[in-house]
Amino acid sequence: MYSIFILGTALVVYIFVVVKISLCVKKKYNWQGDKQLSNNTAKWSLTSIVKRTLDFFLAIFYAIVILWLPVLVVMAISQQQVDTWGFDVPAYAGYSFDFNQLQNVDVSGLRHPEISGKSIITFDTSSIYAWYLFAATQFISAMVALFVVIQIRAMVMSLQSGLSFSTENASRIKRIGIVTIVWNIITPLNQYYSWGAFIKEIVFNTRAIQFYPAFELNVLGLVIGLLLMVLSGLLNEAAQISREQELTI
Amino acid sequence: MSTSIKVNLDLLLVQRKVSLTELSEQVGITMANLSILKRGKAKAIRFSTLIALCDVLECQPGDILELEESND
Repeated sequence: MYSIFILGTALVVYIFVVVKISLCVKKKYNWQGDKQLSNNTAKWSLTSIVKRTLDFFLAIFYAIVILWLPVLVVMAISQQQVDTWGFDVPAYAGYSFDFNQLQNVDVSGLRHPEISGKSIITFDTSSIYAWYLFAATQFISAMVALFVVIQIRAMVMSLQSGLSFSTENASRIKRIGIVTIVWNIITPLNQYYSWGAFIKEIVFNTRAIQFYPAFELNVLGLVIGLLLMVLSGLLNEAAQISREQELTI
Repeated sequence: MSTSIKVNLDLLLVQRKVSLTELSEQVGITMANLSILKRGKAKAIRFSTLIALCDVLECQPGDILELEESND
């Protein structure tokens, strides 16, 4: 009875939050605005097609955001009842194998008695903690992707309305750049500290064979983020020139 | 102390007894742009615009534009 009360309250709060978010999104990224824009732009122009595609993705994202929590809870509850349940989650791991540490093995003929490298270790999320951690990391990824899609959609909409060079677009690109950089720094750390903790627990750790969580920094992602920041600066400059040009009579 | 350019378009319009709409039609500038110019919100003015304005208002560029010192 007590748990039903807690679940009921949580459900009411959840519905309230979802409705609130939907209203905010509807207000800020006005769906009705498209009707006015479609009059002065070609129906099947490239911008229009991109806009429609982004609309489709955005609708899917919103559906995911709304359905995520109930699905997560239902899956977690069912997981507790079935022993064999769980997702396979890959995680990066480094390994080293040291023949020197093995007793009764002659390593004098080996040029490299130590072998090391990187590997992907797959483990399942049958632990409830691992399951929630996996779900949370996936949800954060979805949120970041949602944010980027919203920003790009807003940019495409401003392109449709003829506002190619605007300070708003510059700040949107800057936001995407910042998110890209932060994401590419946080993801490896997350991988190292969260999944790494599990690998330490489930894998044997002797002196001869060692597994450790690997830290994979996506340099390309960081460079793309920085380039987006530079692009944003350029667009800001272009927006100022465009504004001055508009005020030249 | 800063200096700025003041546009004396309203004064000239009164002196020449020409309305903004008439000026807009004769010069070939939109009312919106002419309004920006009149209110002193314009960032720059093209020589071609200045020539057209001087032709219609029968004046010199110095009559339209004036250097103004303000205490901003």
